Amino acid sequence: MTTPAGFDELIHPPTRLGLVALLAATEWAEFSFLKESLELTDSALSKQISTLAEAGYAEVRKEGAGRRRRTLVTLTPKGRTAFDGHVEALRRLVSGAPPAARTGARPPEGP
Amino acid sequence: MDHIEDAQARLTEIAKRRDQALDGASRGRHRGWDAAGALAMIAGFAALDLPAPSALQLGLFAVALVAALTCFTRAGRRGKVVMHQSQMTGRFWAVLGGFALASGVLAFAGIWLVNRIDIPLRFTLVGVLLAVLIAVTEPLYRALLRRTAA
Repeated sequence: MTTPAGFDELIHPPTRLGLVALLAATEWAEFSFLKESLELTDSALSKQISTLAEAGYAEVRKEGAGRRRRTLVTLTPKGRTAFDGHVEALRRLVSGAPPAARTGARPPEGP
Repeated sequence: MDHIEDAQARLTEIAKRRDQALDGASRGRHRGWDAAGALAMIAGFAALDLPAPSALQLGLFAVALVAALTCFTRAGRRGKVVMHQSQMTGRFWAVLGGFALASGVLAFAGIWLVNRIDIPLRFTLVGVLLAVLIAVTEPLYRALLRRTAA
């Protein structure tokens, strides 16, 4: 299979795709909300967020102090562009349109 | 599963997660600020029951409604999730505006009705009923919000 343009192997694994899809619909989301929605453990979610942050797709910031401290996660413009491109690539695959060149696709990576 | 089915499954997953995010933006609102907004709204209606000149009553009513709107906005901003502007489509604003309009019409209808019934604290009662109505129609609001796909 030829990978369509915009297809992003970093985003494609199911768990990470779910995380990025949640973040794409939000300006930012609390860590606890993401954890409950994706039914992940703290460490599993942290790992996914770190992978996205290392790629420059997500940013983490902490607010407040003590009991009111909360961790907020947001998609960066780069992450949002990658997600939009990935969604477009998936739509092209589904609609059966001839795939474009491989340009823009990331090398395959584990979940 | 071939790659087309896989792509279809991922697109379905993306749509499901978007609905989850919209649900979270509505359910995860800051309860304290929402409660403060409801109280400010009731206080605004209660001001119409005060034995004071009409101008003062209306002034207090307006101030209380602005305070209520500020609290409701803050409840959203302090929630667990804040919706991205890409999700605020025309249909989203239509749903939000429709609910605001319906609330306004009901409030006016309530005021018109209680003006014809002589009961104590009648405007406060309208405020309380409106706050209750907003709370109980929240599931409907959420259901409509899910249909505002970007």
